[in-house]
Amino acid sequence: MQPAYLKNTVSRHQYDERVFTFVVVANISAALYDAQAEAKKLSLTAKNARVLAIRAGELASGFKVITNFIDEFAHKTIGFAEQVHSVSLKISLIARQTSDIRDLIKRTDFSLSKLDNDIARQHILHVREQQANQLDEYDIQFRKACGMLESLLLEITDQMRAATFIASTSKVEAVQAGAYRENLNSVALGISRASQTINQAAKHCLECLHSF
Amino acid sequence: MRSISIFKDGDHEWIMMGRDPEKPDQIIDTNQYMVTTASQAIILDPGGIELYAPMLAAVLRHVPLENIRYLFASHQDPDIISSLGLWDKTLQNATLYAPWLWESFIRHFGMDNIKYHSIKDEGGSVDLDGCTLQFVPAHYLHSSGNFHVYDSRAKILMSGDVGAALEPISAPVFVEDFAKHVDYMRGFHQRWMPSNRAKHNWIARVRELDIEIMAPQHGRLFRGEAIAEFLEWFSNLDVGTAV
Repeated sequence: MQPAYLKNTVSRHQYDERVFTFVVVANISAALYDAQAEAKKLSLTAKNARVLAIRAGELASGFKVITNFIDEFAHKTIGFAEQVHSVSLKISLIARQTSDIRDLIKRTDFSLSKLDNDIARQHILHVREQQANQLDEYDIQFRKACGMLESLLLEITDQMRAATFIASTSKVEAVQAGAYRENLNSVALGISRASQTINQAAKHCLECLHSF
Repeated sequence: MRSISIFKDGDHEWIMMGRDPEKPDQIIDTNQYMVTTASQAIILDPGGIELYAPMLAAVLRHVPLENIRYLFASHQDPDIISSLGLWDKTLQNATLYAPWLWESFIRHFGMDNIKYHSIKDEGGSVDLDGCTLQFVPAHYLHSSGNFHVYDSRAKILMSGDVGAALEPISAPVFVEDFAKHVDYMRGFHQRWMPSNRAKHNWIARVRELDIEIMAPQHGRLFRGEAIAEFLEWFSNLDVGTAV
């Protein structure tokens, strides 16, 4: 079944400027939630695989080494997803502050258009300048957080490349495992499926991010 | 923000959203609910403006935005619906069900696209792919125009501020020991609920409903025996005690 986040179209013309960032970030967060759940399942798969490898003994000695990699890889992915979540929250916060200050600037401009007292105008112009500076500051913070998010997502896709390699190696090891072949094959299939799902989620996030 | 499924039967699901560890400490913790069916969804008391971003992310884990056809506001408080201005810019084709009494007040939160469907004092209903949700009057509990939501298929009553408890977000989802839970509810109900008459009127109507889960807007949910225990306790509680 297609995940809910993939059914959302994220195009700038579809949303008000005020909420566009929120929708993009919410999509990233929803996709990463799925990826994190998949990585948690994978961590469980690694534990089951380890038990199987121990039971299979010499027949699955190569597989035993692989289970450590799977476990490590699952934990790294969970860690990356947590960091992505935290940066996404930061971006949402900056987006809300940016939206508030833009709204404020609009209202300040409206007040300025109604004022004919020079002293009051000077005072409001000074406030308006401070607001514009604040907006620039938020813009810098926003770009920095987006850059951080992109690096994290790229790290996840790199991890998935490694996972694909682990899945193929696992299949090879499974062939040599005699009676345990079927069980170990299903572990290899589990890794392959998980890496595809996580990769799909990470790529979706990168696409969302590039829509800014 | 956590999202917890509290009922699921095929496409029909109730999801509770809340207990957000990232929520600023100074704002009250709230339970938001989403009811989904095959192609539609309603968000019940979508929450305050501070919760909009985490709520949107939590919602998108379950349904695409186009499915969110309805919002419901039990009353006018900011922790219930101050996020309306942002949802208004997010949802392309949605209707807000809320008490008629509060329409001109709720519109202050910003509403250009969303349609306002006034709920009459006697209540009403909304249909989601054949699943009917009833709006049950709960006036003066605590707001002068107030509704709860009853789903006869899921046997869930979303009870707004009735049954609310103020406790840390680490609290379990369901009430486990009613006698202990009372301490978290007493002060809230005595101060926020202004009318014993309104309270008895509500209890009499709710006792006629077949309820398996009572889901308030703050704190733990009630199920099974705890619902009857709550109704009994609330019936005996003197409210409106600040004067």
